[in-house]
Amino acid sequence: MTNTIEFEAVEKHYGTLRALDRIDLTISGGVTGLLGPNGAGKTTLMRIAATVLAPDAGKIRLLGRDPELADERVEIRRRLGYMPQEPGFYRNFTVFELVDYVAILKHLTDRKSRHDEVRRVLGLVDLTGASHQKVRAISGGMRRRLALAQALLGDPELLVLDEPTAGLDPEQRLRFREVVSQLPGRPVVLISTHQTEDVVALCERTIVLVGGKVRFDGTPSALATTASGRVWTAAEQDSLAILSWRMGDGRFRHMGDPPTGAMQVEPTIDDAYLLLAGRSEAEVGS
Amino acid sequence: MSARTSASPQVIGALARFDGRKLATSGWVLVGLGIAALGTAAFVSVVFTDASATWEDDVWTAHVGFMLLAVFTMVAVNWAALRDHREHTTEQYESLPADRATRIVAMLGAAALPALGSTLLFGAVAWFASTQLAVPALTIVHVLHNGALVLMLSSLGLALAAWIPNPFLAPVAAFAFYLIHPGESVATWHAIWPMATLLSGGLAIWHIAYLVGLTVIFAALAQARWRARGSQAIALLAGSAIVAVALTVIISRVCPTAGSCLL
Repeated sequence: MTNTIEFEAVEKHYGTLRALDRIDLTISGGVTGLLGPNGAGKTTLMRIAATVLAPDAGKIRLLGRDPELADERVEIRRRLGYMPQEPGFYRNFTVFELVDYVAILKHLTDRKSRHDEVRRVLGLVDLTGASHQKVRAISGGMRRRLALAQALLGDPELLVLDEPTAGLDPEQRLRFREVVSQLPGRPVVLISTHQTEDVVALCERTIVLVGGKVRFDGTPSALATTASGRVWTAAEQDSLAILSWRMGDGRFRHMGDPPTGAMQVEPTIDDAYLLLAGRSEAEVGS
Repeated sequence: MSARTSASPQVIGALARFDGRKLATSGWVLVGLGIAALGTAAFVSVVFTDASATWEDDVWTAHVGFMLLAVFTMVAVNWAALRDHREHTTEQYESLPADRATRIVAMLGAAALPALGSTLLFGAVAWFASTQLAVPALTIVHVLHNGALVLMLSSLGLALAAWIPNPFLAPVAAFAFYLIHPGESVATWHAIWPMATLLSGGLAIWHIAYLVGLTVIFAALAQARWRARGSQAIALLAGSAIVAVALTVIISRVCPTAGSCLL
C-alpha cells in the first residue's frame, strides 16, 4: 500500500520558534486524529500536509508524490481536500456559487457534472436548503459545514481538516462524524482537533503533538492506557496531583502520581492527553 | 509554496464564464451600463428633437457614457480580483490546483463579457446614428475601440490588485484617467491617453493596437506577481514592442499635425 502522507525529519521554524521539530510520520489509511495544545504545531503540520506551506527542512511525500515539484503538486491538489482552521468565504456569493467556484478551481470543468457534484456535497453537509442564500446571511455553524463541503468536492483521496468541529453544536458534531465515517472511497483523513470525543468516535489512530514533537502515536485506546495507574479519586483535593477537579458528585478526580492506597479509576483519553500534554509542556518549558 | 502550476484552457474557460457572470451583474458594471444608457438616451433624444444635430457635435454624450462604463468595469474587475485579500481566503485556495496566475488570466477573460457588451451597445448607437445623421468618419474600428478600452482598463485593474491590494486605488486611478481628458485643445501627444478617439479609421487601428499592447503589459505584470516565468517576460516584451510601434506610428507618421486627428 502506498503511504498517503510521509514526513521525514520535517522541520518548520517561525523566527526562533521551532513549530515542527524533526517530525517523522507515515500515514497510509483511515482516520487519524491530531491532538495537541495551542501552539503545539498542529496547524503548521496540517498546512504542510495541505501543500500551502513548505517545510524548512526534511522530506515530504503526499499521495506518493513530491509537493516540491510543480506538476506533482498540482496532481496532489486535485486529490486533496483541505478545510483550514479559519476558513474564509466570499460573503457576496451564494452557498452554491461558492462551492461551484471552488469546484472549478479544483479542475471540475464540465458544468453539468460539476453542478451535480456541488449539490452532492451540499447534501452531505445538510446545506441543500441554504444553496441560494448569500454566505454573509448564514450562521457560523453553517459556514463551517460549507467549508467542509468544499473540502469534500471530487471525493478527495486525502482530507486535511483543521479543527473541523470548532463552533459546531452537539447535533452538528454528530452529523460531522456521520459524514466523515461514511465518506465514499474511504479517503485518508487527517483531523486536527481539541475535541478528544471526536478522536474516540472517529479515529483509528491518534497523534499527540507537543512543542513541535510527536509525543504519542497509536490508537485512542492505547493513548488512554498511558494514563493507567495515574488517575484516582478522593474526597479531598490532593496536593500531589498534577491536575485535579471536583466532579459532580463532590469527589475530586486527580491525575499524576497517586499516593499509596489511592482509589484508582479507569483513565479516559482525556486524562491521558492532559497528562501527556501537561508533562511534555513542563519538559519543553524546563 | 510558490505558485508554479498550470491549468488547462477548459479550467480558464470555466473560470472566465463564472467570473464573467459575476462581473456582468456586479453593482459597478450595472452603474456603468446605466450611465452609458443615459448618455445614449441623451444622444438619441437630441437626434430626434434637434434638426441641427450632428454626429461630431452630439455623440459625445453617448461616448462619455461608454468611457465611464469602461472605468466602472475596471473598478469591478479590481474589486473582484481583491476578493481573496478582502475575505482572507488566500490560504484556503492555495491548496487548490488552479493557482492565482490562472485566475488572473480567467478574470481578464471574464472582462471580455462587458467588453463585448460595450462594443455591441456602442455599435447599436453608431448604427442608429448612421440611419439618422451623416457620420463620415465613423468606422467599425471606432466601435471596436470601446471593447479594447474595457479590456485595457480591466487589465490595469488586475495589475493594481496584484501589486497594490488596496480597494481605494482602482477607483482613484480610474477616475484620474477620466478626469485628465485633454479637452478641446488637443495635442498630438494626447494620443497616449487611452480614452483618446482618433478620427480616421487608420489612426484608430493603431490606437487599438496601443491599447492591446497595454493590456498585454498589465496582464503580464499581474501574473508576474504570482508566477514569474519566461512567458511573462516574453509577454512584457511583446506588449512593450506593440505599444512602442503603435505610438511611433500615431505620433510620428500618421498624426503629424497637432490638434488634427483627435476627437
